[in-house]
Amino acid sequence: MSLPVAAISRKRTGSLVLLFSFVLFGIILVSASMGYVKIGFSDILRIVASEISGNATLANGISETFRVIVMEVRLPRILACAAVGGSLAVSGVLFQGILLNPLADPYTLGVSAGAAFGACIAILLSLGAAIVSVPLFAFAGACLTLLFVIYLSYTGKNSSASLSSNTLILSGIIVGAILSAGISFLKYTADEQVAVIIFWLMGSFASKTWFDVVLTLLFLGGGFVTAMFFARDLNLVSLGERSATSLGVDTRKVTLILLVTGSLLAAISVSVSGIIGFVGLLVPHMVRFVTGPDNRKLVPVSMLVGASLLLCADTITRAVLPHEIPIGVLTAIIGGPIFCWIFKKGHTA
Amino acid sequence: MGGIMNLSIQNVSFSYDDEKVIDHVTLDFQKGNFYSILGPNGCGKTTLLDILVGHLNPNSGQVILEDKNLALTGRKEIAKKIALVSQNYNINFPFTVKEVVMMGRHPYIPRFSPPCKKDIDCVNSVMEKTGITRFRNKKITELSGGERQRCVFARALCQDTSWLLLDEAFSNMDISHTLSLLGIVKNEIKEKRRTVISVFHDINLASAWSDRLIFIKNGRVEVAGKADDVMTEKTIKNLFQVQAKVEYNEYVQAKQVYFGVEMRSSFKP
Repeated sequence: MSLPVAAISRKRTGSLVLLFSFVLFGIILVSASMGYVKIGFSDILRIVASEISGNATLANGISETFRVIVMEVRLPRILACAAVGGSLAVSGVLFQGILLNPLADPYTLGVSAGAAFGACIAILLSLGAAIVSVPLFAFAGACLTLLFVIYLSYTGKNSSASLSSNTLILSGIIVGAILSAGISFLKYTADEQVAVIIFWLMGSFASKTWFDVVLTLLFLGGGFVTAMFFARDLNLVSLGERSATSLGVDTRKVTLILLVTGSLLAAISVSVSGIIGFVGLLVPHMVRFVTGPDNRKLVPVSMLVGASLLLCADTITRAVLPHEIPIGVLTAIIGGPIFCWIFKKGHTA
Repeated sequence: MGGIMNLSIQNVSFSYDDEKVIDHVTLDFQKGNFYSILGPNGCGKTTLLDILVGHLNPNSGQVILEDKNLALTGRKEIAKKIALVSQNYNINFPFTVKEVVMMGRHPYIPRFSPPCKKDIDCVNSVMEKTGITRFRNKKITELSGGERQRCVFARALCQDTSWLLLDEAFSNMDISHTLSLLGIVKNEIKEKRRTVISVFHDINLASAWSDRLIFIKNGRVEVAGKADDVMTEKTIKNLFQVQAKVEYNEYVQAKQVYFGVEMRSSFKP
């Protein structure tokens, strides 16, 4: 009797993934058509098809300007944004599971502060080609922060507490606080550069290139595969270390691998687009209402929803609002109230 | 020492930082028995279970599980042999009861495979047995403490292990559920030759239900054996610093302990 139920639930996950893939595709298409110059859906599809197949005749009759707008300006930005949204959402799922806390997010362990600190240094030293060096410094900052947090959580002799959720959260908060002070100091000394720093910290997808797209997609692909591979183990880990261990999970190994995976996803996101809050916290939270807490469903659906939502937000700031506002500000303005509502509803329900 | 199919700990010591919690303990558990571990708070009972299940590694000495060193046995292998019902029932994620019980089959289900018929049958029969079938589709976060405890207990039964460790598994349950779960445990011991090692606070329940009592104090085994032999007023006084009267009770058919009212004032920590 229960066998068909399990089969149905698998099928249901499949159809959810399919549904949200279509939604994402639709949003990409709509977003690509919107902007200062309106471009029809069929024109976009034909341009992309001709680029992929290398058959120029497919795009006959479409102006070269349109081709450049779609291929060189809009699509890189759109795809980078979607990839970052997906990365942040998957990262959020992983952190919430590892830290046994549905309210954790990719930045709980100070990864964002580390990235911001790295970026500030790069900007302050005005390292010439900022396109390369700022993201690179941000990424390095994020990775170093993670390493230090893990080092702090390995509390020496008492092996039982190492990498436990409480130790990790505490270490993350401490390191984050130190780095924030460091960032404030750098801003203080930055003089005219301070505007650049602040603007970078608030996040933006303006002038993203295909290089950003490919890089983020590579990380997202690797992170997604790892997350799915350990998804069932993460289910058990999210119920507590002792239970997970007694049910046959190598808790410390799984925690460490997923911690690194989640942090790399957060690090690449921050270095590509600055600090974008609420996606990693809110998306897994909302998706859990639909799929339940099983990470095997939560990871893929969250990735698609995260990509869709962030892309919507970016399209709003790029094509709907009269002036572009930083995407990090927009997600917080939209995400904050939604979160309050979910939080309140979850408590009274 | 120790037969081939036994679980034994040999000269095991463990300390948190500088505080010695388990001090040169040697114990041998034989199949088909119900062992109860008793002792004051902080005497190392839970740590002992953690060492037995391989969650903590002893600083010295070793644990032998059915002729193999536990430290050299893989996690999944251990999980097929030893199940633990731990004290912590704080579950933050809204898994359904059925999903939680199915997690007990984790060591048997290969990665990426759905549960097979045997897994599903096992889950259904255990839920039936433990009386949680009627809320199988409810979220575990919405259950009461006692109900949650029963789900975690059911999950451990689903692991289908020959060793079942209980860490105060009955602490949040009313007497009717306690007795019904103890009945299930007793039945498993009789029919499947399982072994149960349980940490108890209720000395009388332990005495009535178990084959052997193990009294622990300051990380050492104070005395161990059949209740008739080791459960004495002197032992209780030695372990808990309280005056008590121990006598055989016809109705329970075991030794029981009674505490006088005036003893409350004589408590000296």
